[in-house]
Amino acid sequence: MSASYPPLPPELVTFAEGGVSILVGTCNRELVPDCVRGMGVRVWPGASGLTVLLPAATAAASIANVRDNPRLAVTLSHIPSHRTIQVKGKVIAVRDGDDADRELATRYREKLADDLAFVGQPAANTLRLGIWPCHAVDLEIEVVFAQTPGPVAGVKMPLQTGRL
Amino acid sequence: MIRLDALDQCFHGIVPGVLATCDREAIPNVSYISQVHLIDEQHLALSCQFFNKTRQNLDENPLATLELYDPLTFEAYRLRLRFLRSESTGPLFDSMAVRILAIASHTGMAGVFKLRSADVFEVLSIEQREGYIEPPAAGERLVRSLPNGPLTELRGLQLVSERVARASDLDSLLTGALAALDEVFGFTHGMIMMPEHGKKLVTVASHGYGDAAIGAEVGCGEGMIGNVADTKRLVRIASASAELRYGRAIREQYAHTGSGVGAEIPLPRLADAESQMAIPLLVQDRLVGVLALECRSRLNFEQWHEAFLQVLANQIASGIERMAEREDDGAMSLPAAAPPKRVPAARTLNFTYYRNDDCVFVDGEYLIRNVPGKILWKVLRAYEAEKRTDFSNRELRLDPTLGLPPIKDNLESRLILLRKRLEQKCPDVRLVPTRRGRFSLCIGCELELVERETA
Repeated sequence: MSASYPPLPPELVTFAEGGVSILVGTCNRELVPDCVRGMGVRVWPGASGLTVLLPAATAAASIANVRDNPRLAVTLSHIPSHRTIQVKGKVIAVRDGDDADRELATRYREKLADDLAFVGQPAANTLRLGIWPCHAVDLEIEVVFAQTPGPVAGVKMPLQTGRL
Repeated sequence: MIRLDALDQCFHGIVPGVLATCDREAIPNVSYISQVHLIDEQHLALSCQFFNKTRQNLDENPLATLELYDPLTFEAYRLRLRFLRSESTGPLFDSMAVRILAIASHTGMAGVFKLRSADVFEVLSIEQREGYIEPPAAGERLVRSLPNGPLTELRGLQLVSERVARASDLDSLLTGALAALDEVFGFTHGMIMMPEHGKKLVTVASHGYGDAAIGAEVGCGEGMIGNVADTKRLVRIASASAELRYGRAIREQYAHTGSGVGAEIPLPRLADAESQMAIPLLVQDRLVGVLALECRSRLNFEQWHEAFLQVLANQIASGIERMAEREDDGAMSLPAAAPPKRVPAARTLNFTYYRNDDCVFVDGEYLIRNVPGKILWKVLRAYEAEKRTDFSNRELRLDPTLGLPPIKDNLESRLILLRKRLEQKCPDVRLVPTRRGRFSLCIGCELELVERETA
């Protein structure tokens, strides 16, 4: 199945891979939702999809959900400014994380610690977030929503104004 | 199951919670939640500010999962929820709305950014997310800077009660209560503001701010304190900078859509405050003042503080009322203070009174206005004409030109404000209480009085 959404524009690729907070939503076919923090995002070449890393320790329910119902929501938020988007699409693969994923998760956690330190969360805590082992979930992007709190939250992108 | 009230710290909004929902087509949605409100052991409420996908999903499918974070340890908790109902009126809604309103007002969005509903959920289960955060390394230890327990609360209640009960006048009641709140609870910065003509609040006592706060005003409905005065409800913000940043993000979005938003009201007082609380001082349902507290530490205002501070606020309010009722009672007068000694005149101070706004300047610098300004002008004029130095509250009340309301006139608080402003700006002119309901004007300089229509 091909993605219905045009490739992410370069500024959103930079945004998504810039160490923003990653929230992942799933649900099973009985409509029981689950959420888990992602620990890294890698946008595919061509920007039609992305891979999100989910720590195995906390993602069991979410992984079970996507195996049952391959729909995924990923909310990406820049903590200091609340600038936020939500990407939705279809999961096409779930695999165990590899060395490159572990390196990405480690770098991501350091960047996240910087952002959370900005809002007062001690890095000593953030740097203890569990990242390994992890699952790598491949997502084909179907739609992107603006999610920054305010009047355009929930509106499909690209927006008329071109802003998040 | 973990008790819901054991997660109290997670509800302060310091680290926002995350909510997952899905629609009837099994499409998930995940978003941050700005406000989580504990209702009872099995229920909580989430704030809904915008009609969004979360709201639509809940109407289609009531199941939701909420992840909350302990702001001190960053431990995570997963709560399975069932949506029950939305409330757009009533005590729960009002309690959540006033906090949103305070943030909206601070960021110039009053009337634009507001609570649409308090969404009530049943909590089906709570679990700690094992492995979310790795345990500290050997030898590493988390320091949880929690306040002391019930003994401190009771001691605080006792201490503040004693100060309020022993106070011989309104000034010592207010300053004593603020000092006690610092001594016992560690609320280093506080002030008590009192209403002026129902339109604004004026600071009559402060602690921790130096002289700067006395006389500071805020309009009713403006900012956190003004909203507390309007709604007569306590507001607590545990992470002021984060909540204001959230409000500003929304403000920016509205600005880009062309919606009209007002000028931002600068956050007054402690510039780097992280915790703020404002408590209405009520006698029955009548507002006699607002107690505003803030400090640099997050989480300094725990849920249990709210209950104890409400009790203390009631005592302070009753004390204010008691002082107002007895201040005219000359028969039960206090021992007369020693008559103020006249200090040799050293210089001449120019006092200028502007009739259009009852404002008094001293040597070109703003001193005071409104009723306290008119009182000052009255006593200075009496001194100039008759060399009078003794005055009574009763004669002030009987003077229609001062514009005091016929009942509950706050005269004593206006005199405190005037006395403190004089101490700050021109210590050569003092108002010295001599006995209950009476005071002396003590002049240590030459006076030049000028009256003008406008500036």
